[in-house]
Amino acid sequence: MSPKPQKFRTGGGRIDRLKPLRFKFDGHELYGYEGDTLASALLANGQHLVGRSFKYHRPRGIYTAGVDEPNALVGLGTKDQVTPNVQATSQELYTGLTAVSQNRWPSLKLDALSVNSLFSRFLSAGFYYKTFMWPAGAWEFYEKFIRRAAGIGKGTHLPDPDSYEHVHKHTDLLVIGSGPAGLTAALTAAEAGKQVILVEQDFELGGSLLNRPLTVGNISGEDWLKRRLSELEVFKNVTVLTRTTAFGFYEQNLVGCVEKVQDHLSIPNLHVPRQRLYHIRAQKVVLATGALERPFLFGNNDLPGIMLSSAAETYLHRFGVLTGHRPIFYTNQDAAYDFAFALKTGGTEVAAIVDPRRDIPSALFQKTRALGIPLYPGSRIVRAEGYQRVRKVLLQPVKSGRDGKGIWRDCDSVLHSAGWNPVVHLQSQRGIKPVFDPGLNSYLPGAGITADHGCAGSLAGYEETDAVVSQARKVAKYLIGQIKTAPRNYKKPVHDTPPVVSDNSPKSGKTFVDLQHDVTTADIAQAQLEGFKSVEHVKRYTTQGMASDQGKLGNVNTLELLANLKGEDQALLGTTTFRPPFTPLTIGAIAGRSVGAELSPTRLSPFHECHRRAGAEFITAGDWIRSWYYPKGGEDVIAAYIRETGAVRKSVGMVDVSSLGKIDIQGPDAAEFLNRVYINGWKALPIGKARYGLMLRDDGMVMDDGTTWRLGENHFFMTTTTTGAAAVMRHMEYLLQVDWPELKVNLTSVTDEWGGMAIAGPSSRKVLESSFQGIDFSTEAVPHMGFLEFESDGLPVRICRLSFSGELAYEVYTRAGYAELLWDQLMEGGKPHDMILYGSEALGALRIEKGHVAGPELDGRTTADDLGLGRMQSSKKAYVGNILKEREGLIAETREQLVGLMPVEGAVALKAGFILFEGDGSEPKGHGLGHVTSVTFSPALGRHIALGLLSEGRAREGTLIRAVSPVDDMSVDVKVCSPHFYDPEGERMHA
Amino acid sequence: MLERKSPLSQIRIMGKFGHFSEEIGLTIRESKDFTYLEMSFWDQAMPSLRSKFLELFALKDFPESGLTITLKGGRLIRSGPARLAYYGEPGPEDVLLAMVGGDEGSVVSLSHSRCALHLSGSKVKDVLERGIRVNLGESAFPVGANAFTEIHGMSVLLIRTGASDYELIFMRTTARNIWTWLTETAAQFGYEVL
Repeated sequence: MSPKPQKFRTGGGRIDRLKPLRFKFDGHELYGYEGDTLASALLANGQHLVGRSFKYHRPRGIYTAGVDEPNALVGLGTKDQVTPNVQATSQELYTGLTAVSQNRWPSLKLDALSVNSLFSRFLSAGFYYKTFMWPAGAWEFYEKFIRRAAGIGKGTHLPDPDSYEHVHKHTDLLVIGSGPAGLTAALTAAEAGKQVILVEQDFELGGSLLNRPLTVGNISGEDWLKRRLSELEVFKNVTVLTRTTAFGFYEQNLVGCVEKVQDHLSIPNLHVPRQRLYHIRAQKVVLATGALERPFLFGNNDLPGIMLSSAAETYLHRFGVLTGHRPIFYTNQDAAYDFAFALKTGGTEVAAIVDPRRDIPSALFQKTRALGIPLYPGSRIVRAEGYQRVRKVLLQPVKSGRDGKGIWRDCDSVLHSAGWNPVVHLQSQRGIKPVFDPGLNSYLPGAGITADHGCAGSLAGYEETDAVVSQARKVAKYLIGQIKTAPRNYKKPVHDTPPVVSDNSPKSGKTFVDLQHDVTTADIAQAQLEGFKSVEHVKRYTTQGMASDQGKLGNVNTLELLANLKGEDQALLGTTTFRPPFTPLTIGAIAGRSVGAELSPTRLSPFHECHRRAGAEFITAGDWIRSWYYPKGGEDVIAAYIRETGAVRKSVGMVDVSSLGKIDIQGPDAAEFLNRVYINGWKALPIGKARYGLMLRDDGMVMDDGTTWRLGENHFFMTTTTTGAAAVMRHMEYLLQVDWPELKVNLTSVTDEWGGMAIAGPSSRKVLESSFQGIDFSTEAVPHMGFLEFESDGLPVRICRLSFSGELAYEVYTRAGYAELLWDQLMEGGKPHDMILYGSEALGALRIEKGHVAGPELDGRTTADDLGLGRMQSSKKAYVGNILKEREGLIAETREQLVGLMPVEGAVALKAGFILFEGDGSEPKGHGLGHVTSVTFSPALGRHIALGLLSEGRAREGTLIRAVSPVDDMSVDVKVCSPHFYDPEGERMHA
Repeated sequence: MLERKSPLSQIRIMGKFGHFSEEIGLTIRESKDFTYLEMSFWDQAMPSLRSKFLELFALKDFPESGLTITLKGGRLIRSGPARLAYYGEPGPEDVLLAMVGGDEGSVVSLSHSRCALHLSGSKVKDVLERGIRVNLGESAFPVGANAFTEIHGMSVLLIRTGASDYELIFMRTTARNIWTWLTETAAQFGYEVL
């Protein structure tokens, strides 16, 4: 592959010309070199037009060379790997890179929506707020058109094929930024033996040293950088992270960073994540984030070919790319002159230097004249002209009025520099407001140094490289405790600085203060006129600074503009609030590995493989994956659970109950503890027996229920609901630690230790007798709520006779690692008795038929009385909730009570959530008398049934009411009945 | 003797996986048939129990909170002021149950509720810090240190047993999630399942 000569590529730079890279932009195949960014490669190929603006669809070019870029946003990738709004200035070039321009149709050069510019006077700040307020209700009509036109890039709805991960790091010192200040700070701490992490958003270390021909001391910046990098390599206590942006600075010196691990690779490694999000907890942090160049504001300042002077210098010095053959410089900075001189001596025609200052240092003045560069001191650019590229600019003396005449100068680029804005964002995120420095005419960090972090280099206002290095060393030494005097921010002497805004005259053309959101100086002025005085209000009304670049270029200019408009001292104006992220993050990086099936932990029963082999369909219940039903011959869930429920009533079935919470309770005060936790008595429970228990919260509402078995005098085994287990454990730990520290009780969660199956149905005893031969399961040996512990061929077994289904039933537990052995043994024992497996759907149907409460009824708003369990409440002891359960509202006669509900037409199914109303024919209004909590088709009754909570429910038994669903537009006549639909006397359970 | 089935038995496949050229970054070996006991004591019983433990395990010192003492065939983990755990070969369960009286505290066997992996290799810390927030630096988490912490919302006990060796003990019901996290994370460094 031999790339064609590139029109704007010059010699020099840090690119590797032996490694050409092929890439595509808007379908055109182009070439760049290893070391290029997408922006530098586009410029080298003469592609200055790279996008269309947000609102007016104006042609836009590359404005900067870094993360402050507002214009050159492209869509990267194809199909499912599309990333919108990628800054071409930060994207490393690689072979195969495919980029498309955004926000244009049908093409970048000819964009139909550029017609918006013709209506721009109607599209000013607040346009949407004002225009779409009427007629009332029409917003829904407008919305779809507005949303279609809004935004810049387009993402994809396809799943992200890449992986991401989070990393947790701890370090003595974190240094953010690897320019002269950052490198110096990192080396200073490394030499002192500290653990150091150095993060750099670029793919090379060096910061400004890469971009400009600086000197440090008496050596070139390039040599100084080489020496420091070789020194850095020696230290094993330094971790260097390139392509890593510190996006957030939080309390306790937690810094969020994102590393673009593979965004620069043609063929990503499938085993390596695309991006990493670091959580770095640092004892100390050095912020060496540098400064961003500030643009001038003038008419049509958004034309392609207009860019920051430092950006053009970076493209030339680092990438060997000339951004124009006839540039005009517009600057009030001495350093920009050096670049102009370098261009001129390199053979480029510098069309002019325009400087608003009248007093230009004589050395610069002399050299400009000597090189034959036209110089316009005390002048400003008022307006640029051109079509898809700047062609000429209008110059005027600074002191002329708005209508002052000027001269036009031809050019093919404008390189401007109005000073430097320290990157104060990270410290501001910590709540330390930046302060206005009149000498710098910009903002410095509110605190140069604090107990846990310091600002170094140009962030702290230092400009000369030697001063930067010296100050950064002191910052590092102070933070690691080697010196006791903290270095301060540098305060520049105050000069009479001309304003950066040239003109607000409509004749000047649009002057953009926020290029990415198309916010103009006129918009800011209008916001002021309309009463938006605060900077925060102006920001929100105009959307200035709210684009993905977060106003890195425009914020400071907006503040100066506001101060001028209000006639206020800029130092008193305040700033908007800087918030994370400093640069945009992918959602993937935030999610890390918490996606898809790994979104949150899921718990598997020790019988899970058995269920899978038995063909179970699974369902999520809280954290658990439970067996839902076992389809036979293509059954759906309804057919399967009806079959399974019927089989349990007729013969016997087995269901997994491992997900029930299980807590081991030990100690001499264990019985007393339970007596205080549960509403019923526990002290008299004999060893070998279990008891159903109900516990309340402090406020008297039911918290959870379950059975607790007495294994020994001071030893109990508690079961809880599946979803309530963690809350019950926390609640009881709290009681022991805070309320009753005098009780000697230890709690241990043993949920994972034991796997359990419930055997339910008339033949359940026979199944156990077949499974564990020689064990007596008669009622005399194992009465209702009695339990046994034994070993069966070495298998430890705990069996308790209790029933959730209303049938004769047993819960059978073993140690989790032996669960599959227990399964095999029970399945074998069940064969002669036609035992079937049933899932959670049938389990629910059985308990509704029986009228047992579960999650939908234990919703945190019901009392024991509401659920018909009031008679369990002991009057002879105190227990949690026993005082507050007597509150007036909790004993009111009108409270909702648990009832059974039967649709008059048995084939009609209710849904949980139906609202209950009087059945007297009146129109349903308001919140009704209660609601349906649980529904099922009852195979035993051959009809649909439900449980519900109904005001004065028990007194309404036998009456007709209506169940209404406004959502489903349904109204069903239902009969109120006892919640115990099936075997209300419990004869089957006690068989 | 019944075989205790690991929750990883269906997914733990022996071999080398992921991205590696010569060096494998992480080696994973599942510990089997171990005993894991959690012991909680009443404060006033601690002095006498301390003596009993020193005698039983022939120890010179009782472990400080957050530290682990290596025994013959096992480890004694001090997880709190009045909390200990034993992890290792079967054996001491009956002795400890007999030694700790009901008035002194409780001993609960959780051997079946836990899954344990021995992790070693040059990249073991790199893998662990992708899930564990605890500072695993040399001075903050020296050999012998332990931490009851979490990975991806799942409780784990991490014990540093050597310069590049750790024991990771976790709940069996979340074992598949831990395994998925571990192997997906380790793939970038190359890993071997023994």
